[in-house]
Order: sequence, then structure tokens, then C-alpha cells
Amino acid sequence: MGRAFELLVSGDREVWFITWTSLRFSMSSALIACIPGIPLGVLIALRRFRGRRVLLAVLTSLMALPTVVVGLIVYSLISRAGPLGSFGILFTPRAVILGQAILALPIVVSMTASGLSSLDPLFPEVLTTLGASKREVLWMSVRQSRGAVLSASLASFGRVIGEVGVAMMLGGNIRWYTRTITTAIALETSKGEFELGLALGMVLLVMALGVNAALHWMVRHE
Amino acid sequence: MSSPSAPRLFEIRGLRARFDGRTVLSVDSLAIKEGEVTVMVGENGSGKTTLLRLLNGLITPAEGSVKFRGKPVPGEGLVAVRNESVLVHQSPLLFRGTVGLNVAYGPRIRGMRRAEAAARASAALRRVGLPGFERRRASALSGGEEQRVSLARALALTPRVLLLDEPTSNVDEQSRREIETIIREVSASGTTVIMSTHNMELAYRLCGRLLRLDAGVPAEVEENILKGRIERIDEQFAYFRTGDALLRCPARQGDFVVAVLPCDELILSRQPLDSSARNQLNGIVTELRPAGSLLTTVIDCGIPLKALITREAAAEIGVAPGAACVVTFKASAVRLH
Amino acid sequence: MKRLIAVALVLCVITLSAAAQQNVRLRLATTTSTQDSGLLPILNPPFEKLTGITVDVIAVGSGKAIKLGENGDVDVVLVHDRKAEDKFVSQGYGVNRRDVMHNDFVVVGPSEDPARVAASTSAADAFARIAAAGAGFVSRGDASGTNTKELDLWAAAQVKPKGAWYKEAGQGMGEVLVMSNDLKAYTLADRGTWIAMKDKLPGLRILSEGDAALFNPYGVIAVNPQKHPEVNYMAALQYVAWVTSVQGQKIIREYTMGGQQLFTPDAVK
Repeated sequence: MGRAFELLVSGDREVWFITWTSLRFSMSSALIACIPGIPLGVLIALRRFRGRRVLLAVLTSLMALPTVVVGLIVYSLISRAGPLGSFGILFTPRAVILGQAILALPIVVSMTASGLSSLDPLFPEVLTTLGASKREVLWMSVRQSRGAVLSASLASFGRVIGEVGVAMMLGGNIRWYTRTITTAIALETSKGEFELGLALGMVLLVMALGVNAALHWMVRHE
Repeated sequence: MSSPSAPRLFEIRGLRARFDGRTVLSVDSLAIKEGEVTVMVGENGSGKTTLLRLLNGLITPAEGSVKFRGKPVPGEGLVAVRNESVLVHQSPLLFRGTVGLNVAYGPRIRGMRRAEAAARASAALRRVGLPGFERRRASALSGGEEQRVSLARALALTPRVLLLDEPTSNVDEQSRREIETIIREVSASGTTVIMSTHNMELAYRLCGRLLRLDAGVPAEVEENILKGRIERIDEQFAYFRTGDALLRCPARQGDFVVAVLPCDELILSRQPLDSSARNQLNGIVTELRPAGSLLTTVIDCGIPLKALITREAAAEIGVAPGAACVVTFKASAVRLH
Repeated sequence: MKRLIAVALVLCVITLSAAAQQNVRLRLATTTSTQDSGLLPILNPPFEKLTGITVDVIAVGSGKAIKLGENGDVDVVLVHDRKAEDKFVSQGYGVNRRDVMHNDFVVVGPSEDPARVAASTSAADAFARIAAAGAGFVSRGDASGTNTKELDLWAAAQVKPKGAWYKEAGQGMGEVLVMSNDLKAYTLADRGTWIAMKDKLPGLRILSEGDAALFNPYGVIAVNPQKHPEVNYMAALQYVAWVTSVQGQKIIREYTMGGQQLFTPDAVK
């Protein structure tokens, strides 16, 4: 452990790069998942349609989807031999971000939906009578439940920053490129470097805590 | 407009509203005039809220029609109803953020400039007695303040028609009085008010017209609701002046504006009666119409009084339009509000 | 809210710009042994500096590395499984195969050596002794070059590896060595990884080595651009040239760990 802190304090370039890569991938994928995920969650929460309950149940089960399954599916799609192979994104940051975004999407959608369902059912009507259009009703509902929306995006961030399956299968653990904290831990462990693995684990923990604290601070100081 | 008279503000025909397959509202015919204060009373679940939501075009009736200025709502008349009317829900449901943001929301969402909307909001807050509340956080208000901010949020739109659902539920007596005053002023400025309430005191004091909803069916109340004021009080009676009539009522101090006299408390006779009843008014029968097995008569005693009598009694004392008669009722039959 | 959106946008821009600044990249699929031994981090930077090409090293088992080549997911492979390499080339997936270097495999096991492997006369004999004693053996079990070699040795020893003593880990060389150390079991390891890791494996020592059957040659193969037109064939050939060049071979020869040479270059003697 002492060696790990030494690495961090001494500003070991590679350790910081790996940390930055992890952060970058997870934030990007969580954000990308939020772009369709939050509106979808809002729609599911506010609209009543056939199969809504089934959809929610499916989304909830997808939240527990093993990361390697997502990795495998995306891998078979973006491999040169796969249907999306011509884009050549396997073993690039884009591949990792894509896979992690898919991993994050069900979490964003279902947590946004459940967060918004705590909104008073009359809330959309209050907006409507004041003159809001349907789109404005959706937007205002998100703003009102931004705590829930934020926890949804945070939860998806937490899910992807700690996962190793997608990052390893789609990123290939390439040094200075797609090596993240989790894949680095897997590598160090395979080399028997448990101390370094543990240290990187600590970095992961501190980072997750830091992001959570920062976002909560932002919410409180709105 | 094809009909000779201008269309009523709201006209309802054959209206049925259902919820979970249950009919919650059933209104065969109801018209609401512009400028009036219509108050609906009734049990929980009697359909008051549903009626208000239908009037605002927020829900669609299962059957029948609601027309606003002659156009169906929802439908052709929806834009007009949305532009001219606003519903204040029973629970204030304020948005997160400041009071100013809440009250300016309506004008803003309708395309008004920020500064203009803020001015509107400030004016509305002054109207509800909360001047300078713009920067307060909505989450830090008391129950009564919340209710008034919610009212201000609607008033910022300067609606022609204000729909209020239980505006004084969950507030203390002090706030209730303030809200009553606000509604009275809003009405005095020409706004049509249609409201529901559980509070009979508030209903009597504010109403131009009182409707009782019973299991989704509205009916006029069989009471004479007489607006006026206390002229004087002696040790026995309070004298309540309404139109040309002076009613003797039980002596009670208070800021009363309404005397309520149930239609079945009135005794009609040809000659003055020698009785314990302290009120005797001379009048002329102006109207006689059947009301179920009974008859409703209207007697002009300086003010029109409605009375319920049996057909047999009507025949015996010769009640007919134009006939003179004496109306007798006990002082204790008059309730002041 | 506005602040949140601003932060989100900034992050998006950073990510997209980072993803956009792509220079020429060469994808190299290789075995865990070349990566874990620390050779590639020494061998590749001079190449990157010389050519401006960034080498993305994807370290997997030899079997998987060749599979990645077949799919066209990488541009060049550096592996040690001669049979599979030949098949890869004969089926037209790989072109321009060159011998790069070799090291050898070693049979390592617990210092106590319960199966008396130290007394064996050949690698096959060593394997036969392990099976006969029913002593623990950890197999890579991942279709890597080491795994293929191990299965060949069992066949040579006329043993069908099966039973509670035979553990298929399905993991890389490093993990398997760590497991063997913990389980006091035997395993087959490439010498490079063994030397790189032996300090962390106090319970293990080399018990059989030097047999010709334990020879472990590495080859570099470019992926055939006729099969996969989108591969970076030019960069792949440059890389093949680099590792078989005088400078490249010198780096391989001079790469030592704990004073021991890990690989012997084959392209330039």
C-alpha cells in the first residue's frame, strides 16, 4: 500500500493516465446513456401505455445484465467480422464508451422512471393549466425531479466505472490508450502485483466518492 | 352566434365522467354565467374536482359536452379556455425554487418577457397579501402561504375565469379569512369564480350561486341565501338588512354578510299569524312551479324568498302568481354567516 | 441545473476531442507472455518514435490472438503456437510470417516435488510422473500457445489429463503461476514469465527444462489485406520489419530480468 501512495504522490504519469482514462470513459458513457435515457425514463414515468409495467420489469432485469454479456454482444457487432465491423472501433475508447453506455442505459431509464413516479400525479396537470405544452411538462418534470435524475446518472456512473468485462473485451486493455483502473487491476493481479492492484482499487474508491460528493455539492448549491 | 342571447360562459349537456369504469359525475344540464361566483359543495368524491378539471379541459368527458363560450372543450374551445381560465388545485404543488419563479411561471411559459413576467408576479403576490415574497424559497413557506402563492401563480395570468378546488383546505382560520378576502376582491374585479369547498361558512359567504353535488349529480340548494349586513343588534335580536327586508335573527356578534333561510322553514298564510315566530313579511307570489311532490313558490317580500309547500296547502290558501300572502318564520330559522 | 449541464458538456467535448485525435495506430495481438515479461514495453517505444505509429498491444492467449487476426480485428500478431500459426497462414488469413525469437518452456512445481519430477529424463517423462503421482497440475486451459504445448506434452506422455488433480484455470500465465504457488501444484510456464515472476513465487522452482520438446518459438505475422482490406497492412509490415531488424533483435537479445536473458532472437543471429 505504501508503494501505491508513493506512486500517486510522486505523480506517476501512467497511474494518473489510467485514472483519467477510467474517469473519462465512465463519465462519457454515463452522459451518453443519459441523453436518450432520461427522456425515456420521463416518458415511461409520465405516460400510461400498454406494456408499461412489462417494460419496467424488463429494464429492471437489464440493470443486472452481466457486463461480459454486454461486452460479448457488442464485440460480435463491432468486430471486423460483425455487421458494424467497417467502423473499426473495436479496441478503441469509442468501443468501451459504447459498451458502457449500453450497460448504463437501463439504469438511467429505470431509475429516472422510478424517481419521477414520486412526483405528484397532478403535477403535469398543474403545469398544463398554467399553459405549459406537453414538451414543457416533460422538461419541468425533469427539473423538479433533478435529484432523482442525478442519482440515476450517478448510479450509472458507478456501475460503469467499476466494471471490467466491457472495458477488457472491447478496449483490449491497451496501455496509454484503453487501460482503465479495472483492467489495470486485472493485469496487475495476473502478474501477481497484488499491492498495486489494491492501490488502484483505492484510487477507484476515492474517485467514486469524489464524484458523488462533487455532484451532491452541486445539487445542494443550486 | 345563432341564439339570440350571448352564449353562457360554460354550458354542460349530458355530461358523464367515468373513472375506473365508475361514473363519478353526471350532469344533465348546467350553465354558468360570466361574472358570477359559483360554489360547489359536497362530500369527498362527489365529483367537484372532476367537474373543475372538465371545465378547464384537463380531462375528456366519457359522454356529453362542455362548451366554453359556445365551443366544445376539449376541442375547438380548448385554446380559449386555456387562455382565459386557470385551475388552482387543492394541494398547492409549488415548484422547487423561489416564490418568484413559481408565480412568474405561467406568464413566462406563455411567452412573456422575463421582466414583464416578474412584474406580473410581484403584482399577483401583492394581491394575495404576500408582497416582497419573490425571493423566498417555496419550500420554506407555511401551509397558508403556500396556498396563497399557488393562488398568486394563477392570478399572475390575470384570468377571466378562476377555477378553485378547495382553496382553504389544510389552512388555518387566519389564512382562510385572507383567502376569502382575496376571492371576494378577484370576483369584484370582474373575474368569474367557480370553486369547490367543504367549508359551508365560506360557501355561503362567497357564493352567488350554490350547487350541492351528491354522488356526481349537482342540484341547487333548497335555501334562501340572502346577502346583506347586520343593521343593528339589541338584547334579543340581530336585525339583518337584505334588500328591502329586515330579518330578525338570533342576536350574535360578528361580521356577517349572509343570512341563510331554508325553504322548508317558511310558513305561508293569507292573514298574519298569531304565533311565536318573530318574522312576518308581506309579499306577493311571483312564481309557482312543481318540485317533485311539492311546489316551489317565490314570494316577493322586498326580496325574493323561495318556499316549499304541499299542493294541498297551496290550494287551501290560494297560492297563485299575483296573490298576496304572508310569510312567517322563526328568528332561529335564520342562520347568519 | 445550468451549471450541471455546462459541466456535462465540457466533459463530452473533452472525450470526443480525445477520441478524435487519432494518429496512425497499429493493433498488435500478442500473447500474455510477451506483455507480462516486460519485453514489449521496451521493444515498441523505439518503433513508435521511429515511425510515428502508435502500437496498441492487446495481450491475450495465442489462440485468441490468432482469432482476432482471422476476424481482421488486429493488424499483426506476435504469437507462439507454430501449428496454429501455420494454419493461420495456409488458410490465407496471415501473410509474411517471420521467426522472431524463442525461449523455452519450463516445468515448475513445488519445491518438495512430491512427483519426483526433478528426476525425469524428458518433458514427457516429467508429465507422466505428475499424472502417475496424481499431484496437482494447473493448466492454462485457454487455448494459448502454452496450453497447446502442454496438451502436446500430455499426448507425448500418453496421459489423458483428467481428474481432481488436473485444474483448468482458464487464465493467463501470471495467474496460473500464482495459483500453482498457492495450490502447491505443477504447471508448464514460459521461461520469460517465470523469470519475471519468480520472486513472487517462493514455493515453486524449475523441475524440468532443456528438452527439445520444450522449445518455444515466437512468430510475427501480418494480417492478409486481401482478406481484410481495412487492416493497416503497411504499418503491420513496418512492425514485422522492426522486430526482425538488427536493432529490434538487439533489443530482444539485451532484454534481461534479474540478470537473465529472457528471449533469444532468431531473425538475426
